[in-house]
Amino acid sequence: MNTDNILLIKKGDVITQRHISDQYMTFEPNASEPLECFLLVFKGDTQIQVNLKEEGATCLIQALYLIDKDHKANIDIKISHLGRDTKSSQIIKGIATDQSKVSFFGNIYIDNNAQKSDGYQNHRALLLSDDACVQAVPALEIYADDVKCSHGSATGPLDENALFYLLSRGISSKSAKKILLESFVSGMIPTEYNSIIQQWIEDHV
Amino acid sequence: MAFLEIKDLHVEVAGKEILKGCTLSIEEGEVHAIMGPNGSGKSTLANVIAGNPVYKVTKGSLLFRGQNMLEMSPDERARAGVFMAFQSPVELPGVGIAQFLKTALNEKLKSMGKPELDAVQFIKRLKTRAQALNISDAMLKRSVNEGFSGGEKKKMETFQMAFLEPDFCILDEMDAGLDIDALKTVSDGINVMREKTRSFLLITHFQRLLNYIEPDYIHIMIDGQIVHSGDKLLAKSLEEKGYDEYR
Ligand SMILES: Nc1ncnc2c1ncn2[C@@H]1O[C@H](COP(=O)(O)OP(=O)(O)O)[C@@H](O)[C@H]1O
Ligand SMILES: [Mg+2]
Repeated sequence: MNTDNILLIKKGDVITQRHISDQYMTFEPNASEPLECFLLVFKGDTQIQVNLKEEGATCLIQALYLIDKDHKANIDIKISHLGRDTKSSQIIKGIATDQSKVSFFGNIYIDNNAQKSDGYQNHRALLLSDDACVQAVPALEIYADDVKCSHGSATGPLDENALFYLLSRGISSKSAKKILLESFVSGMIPTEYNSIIQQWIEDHV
Repeated sequence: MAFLEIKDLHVEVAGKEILKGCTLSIEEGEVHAIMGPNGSGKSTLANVIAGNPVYKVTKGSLLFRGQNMLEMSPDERARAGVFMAFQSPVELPGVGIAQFLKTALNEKLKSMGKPELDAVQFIKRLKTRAQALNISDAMLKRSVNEGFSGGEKKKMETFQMAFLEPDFCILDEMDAGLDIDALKTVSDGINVMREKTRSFLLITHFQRLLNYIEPDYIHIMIDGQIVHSGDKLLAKSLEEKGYDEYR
């Protein structure tokens, strides 16, 4: 299976794919062309810096990491709100299994010139083995007073109650885990790439 | 051989003994009700039969059609014909009702060596069972239990039971939170499933449900044991006198 990380940039209805590995990317979207990007990470370092300079500039980042074996992944996303009325939204989800180690750093910086800005970040991770480890370090640096900014993070194993519910309907443990993992990742990456994700899940339940 | 045979069952949860020697036997085609005060262990018994791993059996036996259920995983028990309608069902965001029931039914059919339903047969079965319980097409398009009201969850549990056609149905507090109309719909849904080869265990602490679904036997559970059994008239006397004389 191809385990290169994938970065997808969406402009209107057009999605372009960039293969990436261990690299630093920086984006500076303007107000007329919001940045919408999707990231699928299997290992290694990924750094994304987004500068929202122009008034009204926005970005949406959805990142999904699927990490196995003894792989390490460092995901570092920094959003700098520099202009007024800028908006960012980051949704990060991940599944870590085996002895993998994941660090997620999510930074939202709001400059004192970036009044009326709105920064949102949510991170959720599932651990499929006791030896897998996910460390999430969110950081908010806010220097303007009239802004909205929120973040949340949750890491844990599959919900036992949900799993038991599926089993109690006669669904095998493998299928039940698959159903829960697929619902967890659904909507994270454009559907054209579903098969890669489904295959990964299939191989890890 | 009894249909369901529970003998001297002791069960712990979180290190605390909840069932303290529970004995119960159910024959094919019978409807049994368990009544008892809050916290007496009724849901624990239901969960143990369904195989919830949170509840640890420390002693006793649990046979279903002669099979040792304690050696079976929850999904094996379900495929063997056991169904529990949960007192508080979980919400499964992102898991569509149709996909969920299709997987459940097909895995059961596969384990019995029967062919899976094709798409047309599946939709037909889904729609007819849903209509019988006043479940709209819009509701069928939603995720399992997500954002459902208490009453809708109970209906969805009953619907799943009607769809999967299990042989042994455990209904844990099906009447809780239902208004009279919904209680009637749910009870009708359960009553039409009564058959010579299907048995029910109704758990409730109100007599109300038993006005709609008439049990053959009523058992009183107090502090992890069945302390008294009788026929359907027992419900009426409990309603009047409460559980005190059994404590
Ligand atoms: N998952 C659980 N974790 C901890 N305690 C539990 C759990 N389930 C039940 N109990 C305890 O077991 C006892 C019996 O509960 P339950 O079987 O739900 O009673 P009932 O259904 O008769 O109201 C209660 O004291 C309850 O707090
Ligand atoms: Mg209960």
